[in-house]
Amino acid sequence: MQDDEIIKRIRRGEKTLFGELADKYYDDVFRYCYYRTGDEQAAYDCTQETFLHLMRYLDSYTERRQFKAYLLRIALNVCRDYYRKSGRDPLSYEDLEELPGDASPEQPIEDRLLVQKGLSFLPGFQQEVIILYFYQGYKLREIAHITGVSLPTVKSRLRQGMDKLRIFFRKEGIWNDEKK
Amino acid sequence: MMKKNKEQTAMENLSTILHKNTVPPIQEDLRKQHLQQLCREADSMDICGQQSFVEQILTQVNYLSRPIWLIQAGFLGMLFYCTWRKEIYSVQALLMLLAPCLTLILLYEISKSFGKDMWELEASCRYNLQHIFAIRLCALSGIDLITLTASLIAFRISGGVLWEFALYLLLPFFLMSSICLQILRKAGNRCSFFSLSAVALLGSYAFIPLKAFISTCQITFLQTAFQKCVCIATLAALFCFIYSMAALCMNKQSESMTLNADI
Repeated sequence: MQDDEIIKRIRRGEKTLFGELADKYYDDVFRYCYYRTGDEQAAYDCTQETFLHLMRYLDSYTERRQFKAYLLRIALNVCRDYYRKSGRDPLSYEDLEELPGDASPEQPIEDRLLVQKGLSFLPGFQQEVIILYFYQGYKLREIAHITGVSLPTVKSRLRQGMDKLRIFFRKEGIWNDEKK
Repeated sequence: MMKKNKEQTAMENLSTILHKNTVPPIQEDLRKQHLQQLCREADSMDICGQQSFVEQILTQVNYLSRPIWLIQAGFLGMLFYCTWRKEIYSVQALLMLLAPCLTLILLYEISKSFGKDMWELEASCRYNLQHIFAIRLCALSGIDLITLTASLIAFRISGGVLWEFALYLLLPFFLMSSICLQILRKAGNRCSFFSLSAVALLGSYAFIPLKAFISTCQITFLQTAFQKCVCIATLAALFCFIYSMAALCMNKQSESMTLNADI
């Protein structure tokens, strides 16, 4: 069954279908929330919160055939809210410049954590674009739609985010310019 | 070309590194627990469905003031009584009185939202103000349409002609409503209901000398031309009225907020 059809039926009163809808997109939302928060427990909380928001505001869904984008937009706002409430701030670009270089590849730090750390250095708006582009595979135009900003802004955020990540990964020694 | 290749390589490089950050496997029991919890929430929550147009109208009709119904019902009762008694002059007089009344009723309902800054409250509810205005105007226009049709029937039964009906009721009602709605649109809450009422009343009764003129005029050519002018003016006033209602709805769009979208 198509998403729009499911939503129509939920609105008509078949509330049991909400579970089906949540089951279908749970993993996608969790994945986004995990990349965005970098914390497994927070990702579970944000995922749950996203579906609760969806339930509450399902009647404001008017975009046809773009349900996943709509859901991710809610997840994006929920994660922003999570940062606001938890008071966590990503480090600034200047902090990134001042990081001590650690080019030793033998350093026993898991790459996963390192990448997560790199992402957490980015400001929220750049992080969102990077996650949607590289992990969720969205096109720039679609990202502009999800984040609610213009296409040039998305391009600029992606470029800036990529530059910062490159600097970070170079300092950590996992960036290889010759790598293909 | 080289720069583009370099950029592409850098992007691929970054993508490879970023994909080292894998998501931990989702704990099935936790996932199941969450989904069950969501289903329970969905069961207890009132998930709003989209209302049909008729349902929206009926919802808004509940908010219309009681005097609207009483005044219109009173007028119609009197109109039918006069028609039954075949008192054409009483019917004409009633129609002349009805024109400003219909305008005042319309303005009273709409100016309430302006005067008390109700739009802030209404905008924070389920629909934005533009939507509420449109629905409310539709409801009021529907009621007016019923009154006008009933008046027309009564007028025709008592021997009146169509252009006279337009002159007594339609033209003043459409024209004065358009003017007042435009004033309301421009002035907003700086304009009180009483000043609008004055404009509507004076404007409506300015048509009485026209009737007196046409009754006393003996030139047939002038009379025919005047009748045609009334019909054209009524049509033009109807378009102005529709335009004013649409403009009023659009005007408030910039001020409206759809809070539920700002999650």
